[in-house]
Amino acid sequence: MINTIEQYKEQKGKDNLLLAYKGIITESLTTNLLSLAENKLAMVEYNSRLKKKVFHILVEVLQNIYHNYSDLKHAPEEFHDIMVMIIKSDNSYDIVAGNYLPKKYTVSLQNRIESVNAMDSESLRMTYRNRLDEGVFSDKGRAGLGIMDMVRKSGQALEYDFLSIDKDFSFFSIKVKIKN
Amino acid sequence: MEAYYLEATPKTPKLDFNPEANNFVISGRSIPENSIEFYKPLLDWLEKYINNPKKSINFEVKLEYFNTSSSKCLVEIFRKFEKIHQAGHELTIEWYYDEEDEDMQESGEDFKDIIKVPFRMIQNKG
Repeated sequence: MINTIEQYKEQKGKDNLLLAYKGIITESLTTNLLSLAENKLAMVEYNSRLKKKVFHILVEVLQNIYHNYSDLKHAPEEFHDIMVMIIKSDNSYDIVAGNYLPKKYTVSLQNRIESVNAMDSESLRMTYRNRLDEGVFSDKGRAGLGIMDMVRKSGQALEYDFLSIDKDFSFFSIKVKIKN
Repeated sequence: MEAYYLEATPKTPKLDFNPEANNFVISGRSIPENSIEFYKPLLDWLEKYINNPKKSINFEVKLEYFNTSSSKCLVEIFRKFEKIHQAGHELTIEWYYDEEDEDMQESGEDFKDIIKVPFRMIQNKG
């Protein structure tokens, strides 16, 4: 079980915390966060393959949050804050992120993650290719490619949880572990 | 028909599409938030180009990486080349990747599997 709010409090000030951000998200903030992450990774990680993987998955995590941000248009302002952290361990990185979302979307998101988590690598590959094959203009709901991509590139099931905040909103936490 | 050329930025690739040349290139990274907005002009350009393409075309894809929303646009771009190929023109897509980059290799294999044109996987040297 992952709770990004707790983890954020716990990690603040620790050496292995590469990057932490809490606040609103915009297109230019996404760009800046990615650039900051890339610079930090360049300083601490010599394995270019791992560095690239971490950066790539961070792109998906952040853009996934950004693309769904409009769901919060009518939400109270305090629910507009997102959180993201990159935590470095000896041989792995954790990307931990969190965002509020309207409760009505939690079930479909949970189902999507569960179905991807349950796939072995071969069925994940086939499902991904089929979805890709549909191209951009079929628009069968939101991509869903992002979640599959995170699992494929990290080789790990996604750790996630929903924390009920009030009757309309939950806080969604996600953790992607990227091993060398 | 005018060439379609864009310089690379930290989030978008270089696009080099000259109708007088036999070689088209896309290179760099492709991680824009709104991929459709970025690729739509190129797709429109290709839609015109396929009416009167060269006899023989090589399309080099030299991407460092791309986000999942770009991948859907890449499929649409490759579909335009499929049409050129179906019309009997000689066409090859070349997918370049670094030796250690199994993710980009895997991505190339994904496209190769779903695009019906000669698709060569080329490992970058050194």
